[in-house]
Amino acid sequence: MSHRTVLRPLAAMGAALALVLTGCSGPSEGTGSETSEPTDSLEIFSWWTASAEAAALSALTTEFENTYPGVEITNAAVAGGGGGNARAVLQTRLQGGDPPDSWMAGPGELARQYYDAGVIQPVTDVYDDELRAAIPSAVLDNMTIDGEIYSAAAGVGRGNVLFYNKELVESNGIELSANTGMDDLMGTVDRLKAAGVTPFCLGDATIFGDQVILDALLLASLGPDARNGLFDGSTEWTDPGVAEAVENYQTLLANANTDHSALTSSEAAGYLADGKCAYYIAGDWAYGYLKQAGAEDQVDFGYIPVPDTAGEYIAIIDTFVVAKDAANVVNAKRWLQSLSTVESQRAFSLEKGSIPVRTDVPMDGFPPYQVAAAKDFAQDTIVWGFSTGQIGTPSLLQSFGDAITAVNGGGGVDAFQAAMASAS
Amino acid sequence: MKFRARLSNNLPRLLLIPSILISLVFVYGFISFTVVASLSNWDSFALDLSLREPWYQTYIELFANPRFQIGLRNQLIFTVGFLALTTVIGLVLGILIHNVVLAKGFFRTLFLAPYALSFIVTGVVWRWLFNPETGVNLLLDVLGINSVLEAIGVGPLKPGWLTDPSLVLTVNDALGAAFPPLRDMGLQLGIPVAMIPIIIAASWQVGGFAMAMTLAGLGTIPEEMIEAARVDGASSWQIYTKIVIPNLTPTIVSTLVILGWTSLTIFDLVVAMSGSGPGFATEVPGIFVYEQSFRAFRFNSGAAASIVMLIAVSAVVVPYLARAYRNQEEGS
Repeated sequence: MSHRTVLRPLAAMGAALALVLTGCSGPSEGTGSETSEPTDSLEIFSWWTASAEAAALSALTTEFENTYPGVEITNAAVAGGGGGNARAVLQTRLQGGDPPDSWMAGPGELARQYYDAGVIQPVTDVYDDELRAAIPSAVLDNMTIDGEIYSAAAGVGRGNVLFYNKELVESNGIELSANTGMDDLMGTVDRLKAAGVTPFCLGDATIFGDQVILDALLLASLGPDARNGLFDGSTEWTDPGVAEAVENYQTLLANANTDHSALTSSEAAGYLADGKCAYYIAGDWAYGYLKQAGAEDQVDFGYIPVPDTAGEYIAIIDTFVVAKDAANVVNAKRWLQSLSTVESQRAFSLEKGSIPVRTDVPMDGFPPYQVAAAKDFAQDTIVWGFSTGQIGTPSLLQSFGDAITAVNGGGGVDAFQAAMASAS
Repeated sequence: MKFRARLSNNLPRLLLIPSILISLVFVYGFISFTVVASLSNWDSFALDLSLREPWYQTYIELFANPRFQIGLRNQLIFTVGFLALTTVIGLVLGILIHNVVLAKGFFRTLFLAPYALSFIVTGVVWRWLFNPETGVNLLLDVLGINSVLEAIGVGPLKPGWLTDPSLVLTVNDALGAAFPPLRDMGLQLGIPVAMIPIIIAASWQVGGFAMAMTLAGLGTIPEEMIEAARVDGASSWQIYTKIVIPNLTPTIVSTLVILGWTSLTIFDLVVAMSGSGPGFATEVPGIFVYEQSFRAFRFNSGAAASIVMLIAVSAVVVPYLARAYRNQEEGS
């Protein structure tokens, strides 16, 4: 047989495959993204799959559907790892030129990496004067890159809360208040142990739980300015304040439930509810876990800001951005507009247990924790959460997790500081 | 007629073309892309395939990374433990079922069932089983083992399982005595305790597969050979050690290669059971690749680690394939 007879079908197959491959590579330049015609669909991407979070997302979509009937929302959600798994999927979709119309990002560094990669578009036109006035300027600043706003916020979580089991604390004669210092707290550890109580609840099957704790302890020992300096280079990771935070973390680790590395954060919250341990440092999403475990606010458990962080608020803001090549750009911007309304903010936070980012949302009907948190948010110094990637690069956050894992395995403070210093 | 003859002559080639093209793009194309990525400056969200200076820098950093070193050590421990345990389980179960008279099919299905599960399901269940507060440790109490131990003054036995960051049987001192430069090595060489539950869980799941392989191998041993040995007065023990096991060698090698590939690419089971574990006690390269690429967006580092994994898998699979291919050539 001649070579020709073999080559001809081969060439045809090659051409067919090339067609298939280009067909997969997403929208070409100019389609969808440039048109300002409204479409009848919208795809939003998040990592809200757990009960309270999923309900909160559905409160937002309900508000949207009421305002824009006829638009079908596709909810693409990926569970797990504080959003880490979802970001992996999102990364693949963005890289493949197939972005969702709008996805959950977070302000600061999280939005900036998408900006640097050129995959999001400004949404400044979503913000009218009323909306600008209602959002704290620190938040607006954090959502602004080169003079343009790139995201809209659904709600705010807090990363520096110490929950405690009321009965265990009170029966051991311990009094906790917002003014309780870190030394005071650590001073109660021996008393609790002597009474046969495990002082700290911990669940770090994924490192995220530990990252939240050490982030709060760093704020406690450094204060907001020096803590923020860790990310612009004005504070060294070799600072004695960092060492103090890691030492406190080691104390916590040595006095936590022994099965912590086999537990998830929500299981650890269950331990607090069951009275298996006394203190639990976490983000305020743990409030939802505690309620789920059947514990009552101010009856079974109480809460204070992490000692030495009163007046400071580690803010973890859930925001949405709009893809540069969004297929449904009009609806995507409407989505950001819709989630910024007073009604949406209220409905969302009531379900999620977070607080509205707008300070003009009436807080009647909210549980006492959220009423207090909203008051704090309006007046406290806002610090951006490192554990959720709102400050610091993803690469630095990974190094932070790795350095903590080494401490969990018996590594020392010096090794932690050296690892972080070489990573930043 | 001429066309038909040409078609039937070329049909085998034609039928091969799609799979060749697909593997060119989706296997070799992507391997090449991964190699390029591993030599590039791509360590952030935005794609950057420019060559790094020097080009091997990512690999140097990779092998200097304590986390990756621990991952390689754990991979070795896991592979050896998992292959040994699974092969033994497979041989024992296979021989038992081969000789059982009653409900052969039932037992075969029973032992093969775990193999049908996903590693994630296995991982979640065994994570609960090995929880030191609520898992198998309760058995030690219920069976009275701990009260006996306490009575003789040893104290209760309460292994930390997945939560134990320590190493047993460390060989650093011995290595250091034999070869002093190794004394200052940062990496501790030994068996991470937390790896043991993972080996058990993996062997539990895949043991049934090894059993099926053994059963298939046993079916190929001629009855006459065993009969003849028995007539010559060989004991059961001799029959197994001198005839059955040697005849099973090709089956065992195939099993080892397939399991070796499973073991070197292990990811899901470890993620579901313990993730990286305390102090990276259960870290494996698969988790490292995932976190470097998709958490830290250090794509060059993740790609370099994948290439190292690829080389490790090739080292197991390629000689096996080469041997199989050679046997086929000789046979034809």
